Amino acid sequence: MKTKIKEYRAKLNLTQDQLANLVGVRRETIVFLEQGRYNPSLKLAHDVAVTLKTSIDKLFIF
Amino acid sequence: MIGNAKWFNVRKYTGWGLTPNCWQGWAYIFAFIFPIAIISNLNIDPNYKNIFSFIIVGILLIDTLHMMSQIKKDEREKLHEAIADRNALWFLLFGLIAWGFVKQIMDPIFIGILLAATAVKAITQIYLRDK
Repeated sequence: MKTKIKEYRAKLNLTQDQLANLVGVRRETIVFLEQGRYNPSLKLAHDVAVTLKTSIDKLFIF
Repeated sequence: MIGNAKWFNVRKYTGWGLTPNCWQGWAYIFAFIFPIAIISNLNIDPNYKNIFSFIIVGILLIDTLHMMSQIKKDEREKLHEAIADRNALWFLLFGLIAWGFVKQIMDPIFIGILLAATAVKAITQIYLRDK
């Protein structure tokens, strides 16, 4: 799995810590998500997509 | 409740329970240990000592469980904790059964605990299936 979280996060000038706080997870989880090393739940994927003002299919590439 | 969940972290690598992350956490622990240590060294009826220790440890246990429920974990942490607990449980289960065979133990309490654990698993599965 690849993700574009880092790119979308950069567009909104958000740090990993800020994104983590906005979606209610630890920063480490965002790190692993960005590296494609963690398969999130649908809810977390949705929350990240909404926070980054995009959609799940644009953010996560399977 | 007595303690504050912010004073502790959940143990990940050194067993179960909580570990203090600030002086308040350590003060909380010593506040429970100190009365037990004092009472243990008093020249009073051992039954009173046991009752007092039981009450203190009971309060500590309930308060710890309450604080553990207050500490929020994200889904990745919950998943890791569940897998780690499952692995520990399997090790414990196989270890106990192997030890029982080696020592030829047919203790009814031992068997009862194993059956109760099976029941807990079944109840959990039923609860999660219908949730």
